[in-house]
Amino acid sequence: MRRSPDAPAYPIPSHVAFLHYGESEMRDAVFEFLLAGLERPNEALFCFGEPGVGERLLRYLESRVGRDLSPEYRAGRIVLGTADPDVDRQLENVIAPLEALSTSGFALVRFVGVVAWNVLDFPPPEDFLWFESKLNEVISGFPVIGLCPYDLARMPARAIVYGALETHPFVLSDGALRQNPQFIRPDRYLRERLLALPWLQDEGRARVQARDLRPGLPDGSGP
Amino acid sequence: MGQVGFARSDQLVTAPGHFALIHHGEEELRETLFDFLSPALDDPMQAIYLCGPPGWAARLLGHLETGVGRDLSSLATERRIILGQGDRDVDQQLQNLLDPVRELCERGFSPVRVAGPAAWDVPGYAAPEDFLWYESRVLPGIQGLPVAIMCTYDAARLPASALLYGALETHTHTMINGVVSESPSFLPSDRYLKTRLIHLRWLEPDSRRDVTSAWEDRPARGRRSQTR
Repeated sequence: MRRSPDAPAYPIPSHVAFLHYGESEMRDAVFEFLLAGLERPNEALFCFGEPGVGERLLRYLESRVGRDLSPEYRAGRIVLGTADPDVDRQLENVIAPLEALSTSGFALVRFVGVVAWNVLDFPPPEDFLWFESKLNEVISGFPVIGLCPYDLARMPARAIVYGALETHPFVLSDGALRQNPQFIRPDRYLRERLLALPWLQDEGRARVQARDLRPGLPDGSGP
Repeated sequence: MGQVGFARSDQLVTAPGHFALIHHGEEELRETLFDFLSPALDDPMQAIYLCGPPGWAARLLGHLETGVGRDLSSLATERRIILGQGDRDVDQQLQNLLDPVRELCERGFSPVRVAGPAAWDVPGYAAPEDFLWYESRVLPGIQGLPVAIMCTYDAARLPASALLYGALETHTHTMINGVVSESPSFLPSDRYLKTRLIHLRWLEPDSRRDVTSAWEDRPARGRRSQTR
């Protein structure tokens, strides 16, 4: 199985937003990315996402390389991780395997975290954005390339602006890896963006308006 | 190539220039319109062109009037502020932009500041793939002219594909959260047409559509141009 000769040259460590449209574009690029690691015995693969996503990526990889990868999985060279609605637990679900893989001596971990937005089994958007920003600090301590696919066919635009663009130092689209000038460092992102997400302010205003419109209830007397 | 400043910040854009404001909701739009357009009101050498889907130019003017706290209809009467609009035919839409902008330049105004919102898949407006062609042709159309164009992309309303294929890939710069930065994804017009526009994934026969909703609010789809 041959890889494309002009595969992106990812820095190590790096945290990359991959903007794609639809599942087939995602699968092709993720396959290239994972296959490069599979061919090097000193690299490990870590597939992460909503429940079942990691398994599906592994099955797809197996179908493309034409062999059973369960020996690599059992040996701990391929790890499957699952998202969690509790963002602290989700972060732990990423950090613990990275630590284990690093301790095992792998020179590089290729991490694919398939992004979801506003769905069950995944942190709420504002928590997920914190997670994405925090990953920059986490990743800086490991030999890891983190690839986060954002599906333009499934995501709202706000996920691209606040997530893909503002929490990733690199963006991959249409096969080209680019440094991302819109990236905001985690401490600034938390202060300037996360605490002032416009849709949370809109919801806050709407709640206040709804409360004010309720007849016969003094302030603070709601349920 | 000149530089065009803002009222409240030290950001600069070039003229000729074509940048995308990526904002969230009407309030941020109103504030940035004031920031970008109001310096033209204090300088008789500058002019403004407002455009967008039907009705939007007047709406933008209303936002600007609210921001500066005065009636600007006299400037519209003397055509120092011109209100235009888009068209479902993108050739016509491009002409609707370039004709008044050239008129203002010929009358000696410099710079001419232009603002117009991006719309996507709305009735009476160009189909998305036509709109993207239009966006990619704007910068070549104003070459050599002292014109700075701000296209506004509302992240609260548009689908994600509008942001990548439109805001990021057809504009040399973006403005997000008050900061202007280069768009590394920008593709020059010819390359955009050859490598991007004719390969848009949703136009390919095997592409999935509507896997889940990509829209925050979804209007009925407009008709694609039959001339392109």
